[in-house]
Amino acid sequence: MQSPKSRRRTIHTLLMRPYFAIIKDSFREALASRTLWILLVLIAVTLTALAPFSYRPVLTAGLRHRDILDWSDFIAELRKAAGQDEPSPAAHIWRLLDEPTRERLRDFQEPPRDAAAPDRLAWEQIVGGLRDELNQFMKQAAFYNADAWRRVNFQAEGRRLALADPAELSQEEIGRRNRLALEAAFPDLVRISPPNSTQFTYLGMEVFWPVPFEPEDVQEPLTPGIAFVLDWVVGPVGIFVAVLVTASIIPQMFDAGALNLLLSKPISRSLLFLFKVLGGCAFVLIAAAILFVGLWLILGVRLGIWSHELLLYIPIYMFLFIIYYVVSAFSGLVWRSTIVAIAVSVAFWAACYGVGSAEWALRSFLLEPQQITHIVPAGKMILTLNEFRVPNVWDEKSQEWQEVFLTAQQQQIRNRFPLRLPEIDALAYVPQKERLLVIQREFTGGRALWAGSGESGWRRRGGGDVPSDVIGLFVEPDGEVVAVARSGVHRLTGDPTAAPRSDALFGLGNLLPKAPLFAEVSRSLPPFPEPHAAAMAGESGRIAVYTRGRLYLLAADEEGRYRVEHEERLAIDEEEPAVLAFGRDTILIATKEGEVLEVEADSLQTRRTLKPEAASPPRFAYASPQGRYLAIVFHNGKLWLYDNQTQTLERPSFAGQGEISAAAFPSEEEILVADRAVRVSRYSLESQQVKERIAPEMDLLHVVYRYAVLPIYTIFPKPSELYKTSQYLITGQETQAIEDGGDDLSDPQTKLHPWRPVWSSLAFVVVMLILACAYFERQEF
Amino acid sequence: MADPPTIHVESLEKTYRDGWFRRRGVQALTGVSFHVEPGEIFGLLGPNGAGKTTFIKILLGIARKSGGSAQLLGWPAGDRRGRRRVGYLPEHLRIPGHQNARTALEYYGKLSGMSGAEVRARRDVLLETVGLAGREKDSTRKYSKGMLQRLGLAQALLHDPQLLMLDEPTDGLDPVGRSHVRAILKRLKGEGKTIFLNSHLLSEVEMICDRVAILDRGRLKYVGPVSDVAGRASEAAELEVHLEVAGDESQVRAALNGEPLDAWEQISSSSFRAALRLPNQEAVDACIDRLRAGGVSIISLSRSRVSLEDAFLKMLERK
Repeated sequence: MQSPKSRRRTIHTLLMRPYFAIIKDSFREALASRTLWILLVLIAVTLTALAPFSYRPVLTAGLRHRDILDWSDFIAELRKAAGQDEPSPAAHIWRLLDEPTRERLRDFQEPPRDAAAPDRLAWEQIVGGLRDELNQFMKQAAFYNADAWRRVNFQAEGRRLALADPAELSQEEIGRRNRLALEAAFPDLVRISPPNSTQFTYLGMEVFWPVPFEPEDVQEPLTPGIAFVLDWVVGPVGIFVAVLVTASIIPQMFDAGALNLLLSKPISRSLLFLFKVLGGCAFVLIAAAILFVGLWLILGVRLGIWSHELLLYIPIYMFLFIIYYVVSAFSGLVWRSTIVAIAVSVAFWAACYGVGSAEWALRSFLLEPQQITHIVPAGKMILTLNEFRVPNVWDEKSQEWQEVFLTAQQQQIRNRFPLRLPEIDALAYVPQKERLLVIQREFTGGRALWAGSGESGWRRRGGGDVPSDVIGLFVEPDGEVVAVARSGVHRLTGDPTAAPRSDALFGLGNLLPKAPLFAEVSRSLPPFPEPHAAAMAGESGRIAVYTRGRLYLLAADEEGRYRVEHEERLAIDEEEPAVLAFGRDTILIATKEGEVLEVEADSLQTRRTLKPEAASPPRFAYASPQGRYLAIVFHNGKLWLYDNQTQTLERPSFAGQGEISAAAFPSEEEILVADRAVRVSRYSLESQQVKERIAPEMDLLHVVYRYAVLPIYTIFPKPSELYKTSQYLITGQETQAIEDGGDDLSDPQTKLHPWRPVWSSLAFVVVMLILACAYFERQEF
Repeated sequence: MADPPTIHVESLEKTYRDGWFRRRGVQALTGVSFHVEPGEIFGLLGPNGAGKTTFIKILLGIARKSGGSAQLLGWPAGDRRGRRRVGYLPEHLRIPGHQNARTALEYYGKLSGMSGAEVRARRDVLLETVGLAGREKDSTRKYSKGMLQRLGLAQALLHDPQLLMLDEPTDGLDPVGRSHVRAILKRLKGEGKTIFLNSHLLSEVEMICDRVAILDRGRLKYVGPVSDVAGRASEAAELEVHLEVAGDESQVRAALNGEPLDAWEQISSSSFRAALRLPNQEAVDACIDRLRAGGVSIISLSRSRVSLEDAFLKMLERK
């Protein structure tokens, strides 16, 4: 007797049998399709063409153009040695050169950079000829002469090869020895090379020059390159081909004599359609599986890159295809024409692209530049900085953010072109003097301290020099200002408003020396190399400095000079950047990986490690004036609050979580939070209730964005953004650095919203399938 | 208790709606009522546009009725339980080119709820029966229309249905093939299967059907035994009489006086051929009597028989 469970399974199998037959038939149809075989042959040809591509490590040898830092100086060195009797590497190399080459080098001078093209070309030819000749010699044992190199200091590798018997060295080792000999002989002119390079090969034949990187270093840039090609070349082309191949499946179902027979069978119309659609995916599944498994194998076997994430592309491609295929299938169902199905799919792609582009353009050029990144409570006023580093103050009268702290010329330029201002290294508001201090970079490369106050309408003044590499600008409990720099702690001793400064555009043209504003007030501090970060406990004036995985606690002595009170190696990778907040006896260190270390300030011992926003790096960290509260804003727009009394870290229920871009503590009772780009809300820390909101009226473009483009974009499928999901699955990060690898955590990052394209596209697919099924069920044939 | 009718329709109506607001209506069936008994071969006749295909589509759930009732094997028309026991061969059958006879039967068999083993057990016998043995592995692209029709018949028979609905089953078949199909249908009738036939080949319907229904522009014109069709038609039909006579032309014409002549031909100076329509046999006899009384010799006389086709056409003309 069958058990109820097995009976249910049997009934289920019986009910589903016809639909499995549809899937099986689709596979049969796929395999019988000439188009699929053409596709498979193309894939096979591509994979076969890629398969012989490989690389192997080789000893770095030879000389490339860019290995000589200054060819002019190098040739001058050789020329100078020509007349010397004393053996030297330069003289030896000069003697090795052909007489015609020597002749050319003797007579020729490098023409200026702006010289006529023929002159520059002639120079390049001479350099090229010399390089080729040197490369020939560098393959030979005779290139190195112990007598000529007797005064030259070799590094360990070079010394070992120089002392070895040339007869026992392989050809590759001879090349390496000669390269090291050249580097040692001309240390200022020849680039230091890594011991190994990577030689790409095709069918065992060497392709190009060896790349001066270790094989494992080559793999790293190759992987994103492959991902880029898959996302932007193989993906769109593959999906288009797949839509072309499958577009006829549903219209064919409506052929006279075929549909009536199908509909006469005891099956559900909806399931018939759904399984036909599913069956259509058989084409793509077969092709995608062969392509990606093939690529995965080639990369793994031939290049040693076992990127298992590559296999994720199979389901991602299938999903991407399904989004377009449901459109094609629905069109095929309604219009019963393959051509119409293809045309509608292409129109749908254009619509997706158009909506996505409109959202991206409005967000990137309208909203994000205005997004508040810093809030500065300045007495009764609120100052902000936005992503373009433009300071604003809230104007009660006009209910708008007014740009301030700009020179008249800067303001003029800003009115015409919405340009990003130079980077702001640090800023602080000194309540005792009601003064804002800003250290800002200049286009000339330097940095300057600028000051302004509400009294003067936040007019920018000063422009004095600052210590190099300032990590943070802090206000001590007594109102003095200190700058923590890479080299130590410096106290502001001069008047920042008094320093003369021209109002040239963005400070350009002001290169005159100025009196120092800062005096060093640190004693025996170690350097604080990057990645680094600093924070001051407002109530005690102690400073915490994080640098390369180490944490230092600095405190001022009786003379006001800062010294290291404690030092601790943290469980953080040296290369990992972090942000700090310091209040009372707690230091919060939030790392790029999203870990938050809660550190006991006195002992610098880590109390615990948390991961509140595992998939997003932090952007800023703050402490309340008396240190009860600490806050971290993450790049994904989430804010977390730490209470020193309860020692708990929690995500408060503030409005706009996910859109929060900055915060500040005006007092121990309140927090200011910026969200929706330009809105600042004042919350009670006790009740977490909003007390005040300031936000300008939305202009037309904002209204269009928020109430038209954004809703359409939200409900529209986002097939072109599915690469974000794959990136998230590969990196585990919800945000992506825009530039420089994201080592400066305060730099803006793109929010990937990795699951948004999945959910919106999935919802779209479901809605389309429901519509199609309803249509098919109701339709008479 | 007697089995319920295999097909039972009562006042069946169907109006196709068309246009943007579905206001335009085309009446495809109007008050059609009849039933098909288990085990009989039933033919549905009618000119193009009579509503025959619509009738089948309603029974199979491909189209929905607008009024009346329709039942198939005791279930409401279109019900999946009823459809499970029906084998259907549509007109202009198309079987996808990626299939061969074996895979097509496997596919359609499974769509009918059969297991792979069940399909395999019946497949080869059926292919043999319909004359496709030896060609079962060929792609259906290579099949002639007749071969496709045989394959269609095989798929309709595969799941051993209680009712076969065949739309032009001999379409595309040669005379031998037609005879073959007729033999199969007769055998199936012997096995107790009900066969619902929709055919334009009236001679075939006449040869194999027990009963027929005649549809014209959506209305039922006749339902009953095939043998009654010709009888009913002949009751009202004129007879066509072909005569070859010898005698004086004036005497011949005088003897045929008043009878409508369809044709008149002089063969020689004293012999003639004539075709005329007479209402019944009595009129034929009276006409012969007059000819003989006038001294006209009757060389030959033939009276054409009323076929099903004639009767069918008559019935349509009578509306």
